Amino acid sequence: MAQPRQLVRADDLELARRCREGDAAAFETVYRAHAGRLFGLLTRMTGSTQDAEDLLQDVFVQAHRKLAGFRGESSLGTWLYRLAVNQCLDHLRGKQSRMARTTDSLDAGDAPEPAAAVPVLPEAIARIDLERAIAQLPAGCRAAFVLHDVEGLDHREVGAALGISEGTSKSQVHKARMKLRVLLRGVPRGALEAV
Amino acid sequence: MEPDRYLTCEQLAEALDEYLDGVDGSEAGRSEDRPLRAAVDAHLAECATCPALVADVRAIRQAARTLEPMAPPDHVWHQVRARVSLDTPARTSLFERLRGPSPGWRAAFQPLAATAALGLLVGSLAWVGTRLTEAPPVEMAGSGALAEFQLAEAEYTDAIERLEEAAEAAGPQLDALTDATLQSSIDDIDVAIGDARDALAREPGDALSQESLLDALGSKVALLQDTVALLGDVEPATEEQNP
Repeated sequence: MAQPRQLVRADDLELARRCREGDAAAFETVYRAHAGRLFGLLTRMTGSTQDAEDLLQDVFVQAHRKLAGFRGESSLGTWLYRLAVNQCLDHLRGKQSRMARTTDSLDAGDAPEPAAAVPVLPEAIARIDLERAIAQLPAGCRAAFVLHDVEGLDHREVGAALGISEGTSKSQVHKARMKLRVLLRGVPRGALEAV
Repeated sequence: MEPDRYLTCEQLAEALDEYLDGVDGSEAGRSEDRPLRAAVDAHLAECATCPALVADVRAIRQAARTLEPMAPPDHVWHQVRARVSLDTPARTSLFERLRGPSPGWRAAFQPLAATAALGLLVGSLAWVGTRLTEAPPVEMAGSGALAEFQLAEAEYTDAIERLEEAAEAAGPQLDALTDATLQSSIDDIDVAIGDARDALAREPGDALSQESLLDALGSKVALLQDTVALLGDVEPATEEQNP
């Protein structure tokens, strides 16, 4: 049975207190509880498991430093999630800035959306196919797509996280879906429910 | 019933999330969504391409919501733990942990055995610092990258051996808890080193594995330097024992 929210917060505060006091077991408990969700987020946002591993390390090192500031106003999971999103966006901005020296835009050269009279995708898309396709999206629309369609943030929240307008979030997510349509096209139906 | 408004394909794309939230989401069936739903349905009944778009977006949205957490590799936790142990603010807590329940933590350390041992440690630190500063930058791409990697690895390995010798020479001055805590961190780093070396045994030219190995070796050098610095920071116990 799920614990009431105030008890979860109390547990989080207790864990944070133990971490601040140098309790390695408490810090490992925090890591084990949240690393999977954050690693999934970071892998999908960056499109690179190597980058995600580095960022996950950075997130937990930062968390260890900043736990003194954790007041339990949100759950520890939410607090870590925000830390991970911010860390990831800093990373993506830095990467985009470096790439901008050699390319006009991460999303430049978009092909027109294909118009299709019948659905090009099966009703059930295999997770592994979707993961691969997400990794191939351009960075800008990938971040918006992951935050909106995978993580469930609304466009206002995505806009706030990425520093873009709500309308831009909608268009980035739409662009991502159109690219995914192309990337996922042709996946054999027999393999779709396997994963 | 006639819809209140007609949508273009672009407007439909814009309204798609709202529409699908109304059809599939937790807010399905809200009365305020009915005009939009009627307008979208009217468009879909007449448009040749948008029904396919809606079906595909729906499939993508549903698949995206099923994506699950991903377990990070074990070495990430080992590296996090090693970095936290070496972190400057955390270093205080490491030392605090080493202190244990007794407030007079310095008293827990025995005095340094001999000036010669300290001289060895300081000399090793200076030597390692010089060697690492002089080491050529590692360039992973291009020809000769493997040779440069091997050179850097040799520098780190050499530095680690020297520092281990120095730490071993001073080992008896550390109490059991200190020694065990530092050894635990070193063991974690050794796991990361072992993982990277295994990966390199399979693919000797893999740049990511090379980088991982150098990172892990660098962490070990830093931890050993930290150990040596800790030893150098220990004041003679007699001062603490006689307040």
